[in-house]
Amino acid sequence: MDTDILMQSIGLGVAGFILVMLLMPVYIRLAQKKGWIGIDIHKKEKPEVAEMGGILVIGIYLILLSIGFLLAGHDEDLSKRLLVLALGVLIAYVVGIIDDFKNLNALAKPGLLLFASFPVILLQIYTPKPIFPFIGETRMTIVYLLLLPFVVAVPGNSMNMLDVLNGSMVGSAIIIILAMTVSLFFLPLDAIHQSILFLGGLPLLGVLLALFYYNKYPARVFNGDTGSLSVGAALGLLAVLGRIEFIILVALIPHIANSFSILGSIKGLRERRQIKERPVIVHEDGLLEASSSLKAPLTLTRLILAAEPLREKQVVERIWGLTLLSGLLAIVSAMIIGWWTL
Amino acid sequence: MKPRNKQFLRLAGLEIFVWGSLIFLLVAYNRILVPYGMHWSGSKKIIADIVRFGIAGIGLIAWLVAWYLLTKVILLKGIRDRPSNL
Repeated sequence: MDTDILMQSIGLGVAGFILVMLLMPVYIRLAQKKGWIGIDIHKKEKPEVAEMGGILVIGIYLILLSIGFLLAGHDEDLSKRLLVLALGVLIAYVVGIIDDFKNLNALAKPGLLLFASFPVILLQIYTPKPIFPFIGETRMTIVYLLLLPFVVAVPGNSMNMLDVLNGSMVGSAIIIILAMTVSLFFLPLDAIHQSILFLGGLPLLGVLLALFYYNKYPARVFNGDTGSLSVGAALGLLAVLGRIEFIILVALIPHIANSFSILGSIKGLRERRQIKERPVIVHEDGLLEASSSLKAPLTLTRLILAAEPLREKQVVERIWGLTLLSGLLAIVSAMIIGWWTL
Repeated sequence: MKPRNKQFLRLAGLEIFVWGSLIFLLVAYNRILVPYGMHWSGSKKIIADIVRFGIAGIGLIAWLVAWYLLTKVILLKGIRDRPSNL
């Protein structure tokens, strides 16, 4: 492992953390002044919370990636990968901003997110040989190219669909990045793949840790679709650029399970405003209860609440718990891959 | 055990099922189906390819259906356990 790259990644991560911590209060005041406000529907007081915090956080992440790009100038392959990552995240960022301001319809959002993988395809920065446990390297020359847009769009939309409670998306994304970082120590990856994962992953971890401080229960800022779509797209792009597709897939099981079961239960893509029946009922005392309506979507939150009503904070802790389990399974997968290819 | 912990364990079990069955499918495909008909040629090879992809496709669909049904059963069980909701 290249110590310089590791130190640069940690440096960018720390810089990102400090910048978001310092600038977020300024952003919150600006959002309140501009009327970028959302209602926190899972609380009995229905407080008004600053929206679209992702605009600041992902904006800073994109600046950090640009600095990483300048630092890696001497290494053509690494700078190309950083450029592709930054462009892909930028596309998801723009889609998120449009969605936050204009409310894209149910097909347009995932459809537009497919474009986030285009820089990877156009610059041909991918290895169509994903690595699996017990199998090792596989050859999927054509299938991989066809699946590539979904490898980026599915995590993006899945992150977006689990961004429903205070800290649920940010906390789970932090767990996934930590699991990914630990996995790197077991995987038989080349230096270039390790480098892009550190340079792309640790700055994202830095900005998300700071965002978590403001987004955790009770939230002072929401991420908005800008935040959730971009974070998911970044994870998908890192999976492709660093050849850790299986690891990210396993770490994302709760998110993917949530989105597939929503899509299965409401039979297709629907915009959240089109869904009449809420999956969760908020009681006077702030307790959340699972809806027993057959028409309500089958969300992970509803599954967690099925046994008994809980407080928002408890539901979020369970979402983190499930993500932690899938993160551990991702690390075990990495250990199996490492052991199998020895 | 508290119902909330039971529900968490059910969901955690579902995750382990998804992970374990995914690895099982991958190993089964690679170790059993891929070697099938490797040495054949001509029309026999095409049949072997169709069988291989057909079984892989059916396996994948069965896996997704099992995943969805298990999720539903878990939710229904949760709600059935709560008399107030019936």
